[in-house]
Amino acid sequence: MFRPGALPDDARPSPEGGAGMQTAARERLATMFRDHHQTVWRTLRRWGLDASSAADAGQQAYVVAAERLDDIQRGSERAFLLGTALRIARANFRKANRLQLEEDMDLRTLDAKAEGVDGLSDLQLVDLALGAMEPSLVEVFVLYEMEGLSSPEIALALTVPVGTVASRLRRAREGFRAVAKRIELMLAREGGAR
Amino acid sequence: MHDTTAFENRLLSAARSEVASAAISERMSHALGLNLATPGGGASVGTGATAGKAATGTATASLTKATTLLVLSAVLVTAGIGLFYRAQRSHQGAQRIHQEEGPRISESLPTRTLSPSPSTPAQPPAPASQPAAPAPRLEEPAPPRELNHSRLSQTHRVDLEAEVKQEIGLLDAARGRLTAGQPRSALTLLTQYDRRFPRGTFAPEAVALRIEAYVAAGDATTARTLARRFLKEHHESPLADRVDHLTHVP
Repeated sequence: MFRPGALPDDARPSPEGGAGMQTAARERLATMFRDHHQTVWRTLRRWGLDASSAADAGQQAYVVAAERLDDIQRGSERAFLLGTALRIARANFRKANRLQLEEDMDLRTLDAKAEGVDGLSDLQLVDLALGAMEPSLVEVFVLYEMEGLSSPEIALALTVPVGTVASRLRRAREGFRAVAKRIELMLAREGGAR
Repeated sequence: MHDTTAFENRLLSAARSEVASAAISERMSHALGLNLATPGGGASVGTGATAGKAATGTATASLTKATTLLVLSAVLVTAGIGLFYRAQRSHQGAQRIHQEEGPRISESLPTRTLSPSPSTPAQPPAPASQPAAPAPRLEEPAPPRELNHSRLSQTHRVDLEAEVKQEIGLLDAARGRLTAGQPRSALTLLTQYDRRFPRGTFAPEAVALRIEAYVAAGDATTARTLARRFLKEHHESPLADRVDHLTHVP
């Protein structure tokens, strides 16, 4: 059970007990932070959160990890953190900073949102493209193509079958290609052959 | 071979290159009481192998920046942890299908070093079948209740937190019974949950667990009926795939 303020110093005692285990738990959490907080933060950014909100949601994921540290299997820390962070994002930031789309992809909405694309940075163009895709596809696409997770690890993080990851990835690639092509055409039309 | 255009590669490269600033990283670590040093500024903090060079500072026990929202959100997420571990078990037998998906788009690009993916040991998924039992009354699931910022007022904060803990306790107990091969007992606890928390924060999780319990009890008809309703009402839920997989709803 989660307790307010339950951080590594307050970690549940292990069977061995003692302050040494608390230190070990804290060090493990610190390692998880150093190794994965950028991936967690960046994934949340691509999901649609601004920099500050991504930090908040990522921070919450680490609080959960601190509480459940004993339950996290060695080697699956990244999947745990990413899955938890995305659940937090879905629960607290539901489409708040995303385009409101009913279908997998809506190029007309993209057209309306993307006027003046020539002035956008490449990173803003990426977010524009991802914002026109269905969130569940974005999650798989970002984790696989941008963050380098394997399909089984993504399946673990998202608690979906591996086959679902494969099908979502295929659809996401098709969607991203279509949206990127559209954005490229917009840039060319606006004389932005950068 | 998954061919990509130069423009797609440009966008992907831009996405991969973004890093949290040193200020963001320090804010996160301080809030967790980790106080990690972030040498080299934001561009080099915590990205793959370079992150491992960050020094570990003295941890403090205080949660300096954790807000009530953070705490309650964390509680909310713990309800999904059980699903995480069930899924973990179920995926342990899955074979890698990287070849079927083709190479990453990014494989054709100069990329930063990514930490290796953990391998998952092969284990057969745990059997879920249980002897058939008489079908209990199909109960109407309560509509889900949103846990959002507006609910986190000072007035209700403490009560809500206690309530959420009680909800999780009951669901954990039901999940434990189910894992122990006692689906009927799990259903009894879930009925208690529905009565005590008719608009519970974790109502969707309770319904998903109920469906799983019916499947385990051999009552596929009731499970499918509940699953159809669940998928209609919660088609965007992270639990939807799980429910769909449990019952193979057409």
